[in-house]
Amino acid sequence: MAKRGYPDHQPRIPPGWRLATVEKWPINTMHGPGLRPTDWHFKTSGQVRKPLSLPYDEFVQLPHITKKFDHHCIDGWSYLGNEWTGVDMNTIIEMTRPNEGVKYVHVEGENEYSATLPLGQELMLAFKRNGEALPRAGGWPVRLVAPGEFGYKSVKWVQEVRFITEWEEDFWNKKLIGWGEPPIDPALNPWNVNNEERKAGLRKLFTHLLEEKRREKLERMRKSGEIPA
Amino acid sequence: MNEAGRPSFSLCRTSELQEGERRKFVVNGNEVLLVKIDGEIFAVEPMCTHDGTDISRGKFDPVSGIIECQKHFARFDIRTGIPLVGPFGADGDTQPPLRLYKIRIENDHVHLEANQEWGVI
Ligand code: FES
Repeated sequence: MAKRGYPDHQPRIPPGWRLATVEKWPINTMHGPGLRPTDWHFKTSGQVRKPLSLPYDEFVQLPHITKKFDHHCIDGWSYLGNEWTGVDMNTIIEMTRPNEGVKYVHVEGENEYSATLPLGQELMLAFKRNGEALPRAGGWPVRLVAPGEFGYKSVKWVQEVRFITEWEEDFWNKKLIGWGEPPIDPALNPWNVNNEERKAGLRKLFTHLLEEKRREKLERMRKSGEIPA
Repeated sequence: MNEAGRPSFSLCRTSELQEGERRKFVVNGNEVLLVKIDGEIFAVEPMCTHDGTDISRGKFDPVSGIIECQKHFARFDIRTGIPLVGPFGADGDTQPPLRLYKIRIENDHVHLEANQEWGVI
């Protein structure tokens, strides 16, 4: 698969994107799942010779690196030069030793959130941003950093990395299929999607999400007896 | 029912609403924000079209009619629902507009139409 994203083949900011205008790191999903250090284990599974299960203390003792990456949100903003500290996926690969034929990692977070990414792409399992442990809303204890991908691939609250031989639709792809839309083509670098298409796609996406939110709200009101069932 | 024989819900008296005042109602699970600007009453769903935040208490300028979402600062013209700025400087045009409700003013009362474009309330 062709190498994606900054810095080799792409401009630093996707066409049509703007720099985030707020000082603070923008957060779209505010609420973390409330994991506790004692409960959390980093696990590998799937087609591997040696499945891992590491508690937080051991995970942060693994060989790690600190590196700057840019973050691009599908909403159309970028935040440049965040300094991430974490374990390179290659370190995990060496430890867990995937079987022949493994082509993808399926990174699983909380509430069925997941991202499928090709093996061989640069990926970091980060536990610090700009020198500080991740805040809960920022993905504590560990989040994925997938440079060259939009932010929705950078799974927060990572629990497990499953090594797989066949492409598996991930969280957003499944949603799109549920909405009768074609899933995101894994070979498609979204940075190349032309702006008008992206805008139309985003509008659709937002509209679908709002419909879901309205439904959820009604459900809640029904359950609480605010409106008749 | 309102006088035209169309099903509707009476929300409040027009005179109860002060200039620039916002008031939220929930009708059969639908949230409706009424606001009076220049003596005219507008009704929108106070749900930010970026990520669903309730913007009924968002920063509001009654002169320009602009309301700002407190979560990521999207701004909307409350009279038309049109997004002016999306989150973090992204183009507003990727965001759908706020949902506007059809209302009728009758006998000094604000009536929310039961039949809206997207369905029945
Ligand atoms: S939810 Fe309103 S701007 Fe993001």
